[in-house]
Amino acid sequence: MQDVRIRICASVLLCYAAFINIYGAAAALVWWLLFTPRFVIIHRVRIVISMLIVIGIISLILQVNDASGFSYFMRMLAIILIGLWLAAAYQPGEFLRFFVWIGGNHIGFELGVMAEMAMQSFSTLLFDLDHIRMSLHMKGIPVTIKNIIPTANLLIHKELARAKDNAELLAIRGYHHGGRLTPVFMYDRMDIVALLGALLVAVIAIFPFVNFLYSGIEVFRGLL
Amino acid sequence: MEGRIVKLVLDHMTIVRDHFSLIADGTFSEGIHLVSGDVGSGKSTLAFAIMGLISCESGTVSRHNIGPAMLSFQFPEYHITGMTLEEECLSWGVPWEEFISSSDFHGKRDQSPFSLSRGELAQFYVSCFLNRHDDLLLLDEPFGSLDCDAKKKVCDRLSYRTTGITIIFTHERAILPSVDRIWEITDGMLFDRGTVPDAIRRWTGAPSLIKKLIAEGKIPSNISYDDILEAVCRT
Amino acid sequence: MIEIRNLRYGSLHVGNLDLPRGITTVIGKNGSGKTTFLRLCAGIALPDAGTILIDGKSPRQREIGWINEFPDRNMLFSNVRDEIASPLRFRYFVPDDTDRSVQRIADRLGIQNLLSRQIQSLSGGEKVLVALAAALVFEPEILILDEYDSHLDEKRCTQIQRILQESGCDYILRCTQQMETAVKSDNLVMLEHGKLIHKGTPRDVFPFLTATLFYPLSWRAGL
Repeated sequence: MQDVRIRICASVLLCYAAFINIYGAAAALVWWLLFTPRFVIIHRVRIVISMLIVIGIISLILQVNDASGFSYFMRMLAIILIGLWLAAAYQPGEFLRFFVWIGGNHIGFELGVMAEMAMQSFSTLLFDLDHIRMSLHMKGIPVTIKNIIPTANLLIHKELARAKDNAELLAIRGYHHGGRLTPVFMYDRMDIVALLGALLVAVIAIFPFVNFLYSGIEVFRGLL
Repeated sequence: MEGRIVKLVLDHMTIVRDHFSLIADGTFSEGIHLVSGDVGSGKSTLAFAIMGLISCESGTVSRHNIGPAMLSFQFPEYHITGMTLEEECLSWGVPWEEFISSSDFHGKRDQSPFSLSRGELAQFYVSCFLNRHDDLLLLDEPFGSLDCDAKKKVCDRLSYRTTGITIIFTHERAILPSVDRIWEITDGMLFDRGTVPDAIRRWTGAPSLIKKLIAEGKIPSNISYDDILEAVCRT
Repeated sequence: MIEIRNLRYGSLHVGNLDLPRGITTVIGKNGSGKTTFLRLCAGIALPDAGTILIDGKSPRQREIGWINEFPDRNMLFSNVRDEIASPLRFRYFVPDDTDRSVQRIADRLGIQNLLSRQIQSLSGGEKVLVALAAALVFEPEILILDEYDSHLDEKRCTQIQRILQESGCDYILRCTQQMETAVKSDNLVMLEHGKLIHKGTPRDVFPFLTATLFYPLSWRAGL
């Protein structure tokens, strides 16, 4: 799905549908199976399994306590998978274009720059964490609560230094307020189909057809 | 263990990344090795792969009689795990008293590592590593951010390392240590140019000054600053 | 002319210094004040006392291109095109003009093939070229480079030296730890412990440094 606007719109619809009820969640999962490179994402994102385990545990607890654990699990699963797909599908520069399209060359551009810099910081943070992990491994230092403090110290130092560098770079490149950009988007027929699919999922959630069908069946049986 | 022979063997080690690939074959024996190559040629990646910190597509890295091993990062701040310089030293297994006897950090025991400049931090870590007596020591761009005097100090300290395998990955072209063997990475492959001084002639990526000296028939006996200076002053 | 008068900032005290047009290189040991001096000339920091005037105006009234020492610290965005276009977009240039300028500077620096790449995938040398493109795309009057060659190989340094000479900037200020780079300058300034100790052309300054490692090896070799 090349067009970030369609991707974000679809994600919002799907997450909303999944949040409302189990029918929306089930429909969102079907959408995810049909329209995303599903297993590539799961393979790429290492935290998927851990997240699934966490929500699985919470669901079990809810179920044991006579709350709707299964419904919770399905809805959270759908939201997590849609969220991961959205994050994995991000291409650098998209948020800048998206926010300029929504908010124009002043507020929109500023939001877009902030979003892009946040994504850049996030990937740099992952790089930093990787190197810190390697350093701890080489020193034979286990990752414990006690050892997290100096690690956090280092990360904070680097982030503060980076924030200062970014502020200086923005200033020296002439940034005052906003900027000018003509956002260009590309999409194909499948993007539209996927968006319509997401709309359908939202409709299914708002008007649960299963309940409708069940009521219809009961009425029919009554008539018989 | 007295008399043991340490060896690091790369057997058709293949590393593939987004925009480059690297094939490395060779045996690093005891001594100081220089691995040179342009920025982006894969020196750091090779260092990480030798340490087992990243995986290879194929091939093997074998360590023979190699006990402790260490890699010094190009950007030294990633090594910081202590709140003071003394803590940092101890995290490397080096007591402060032993460290201070061979370095310039007197009176800075309780200072935070973050208070040091990048150059000072680099010097600090080189001193830590050289006090550790690892069987395998990899130094990834140890001269970056250092001034001429600091580079020379690092080179001089390195010359005291007479045991184990030391591999220096660098594109430094002016102030280098004396080495035993020269390697270089070009066109995605690691080439063993051999032992010094013969290797200097075969070194295609040698600094331009060394190439000029060779062209004039003044082949340095090694690649350290003093050796280059001696060659320069030869009549 | 860059006119510096009684400049003070922390422990940096430069006194009086005039820098004519051309490439000026600042050399000195770690901690001598080179980066601080360049940041003051770029207007990133303001002096505690004294003045810096570039052709009669303060640095903040001038168009200045800046490159940090570390390649990763010169990047705001994740892709090359956005990075190079950023100074023009911030100045509200017409988008078509921005695109043309980006293409032009990429062609000039030989990095057309990098425009669609992500910054993360670039080598250190490529990142410096991208930073240079971002610094030059709006045709600044002054270009300031803080030890940009620390993480560059000789080939890349030679390429960038040529780019700097052809840049068209009235003033180029840089600092370096490579004396073979410093010799290729019009002016040389040496700092020590925050003080100006030598100034002039390389031929004026380097003779004072023959007994140190700051004297270029190539000059010792008579090259």
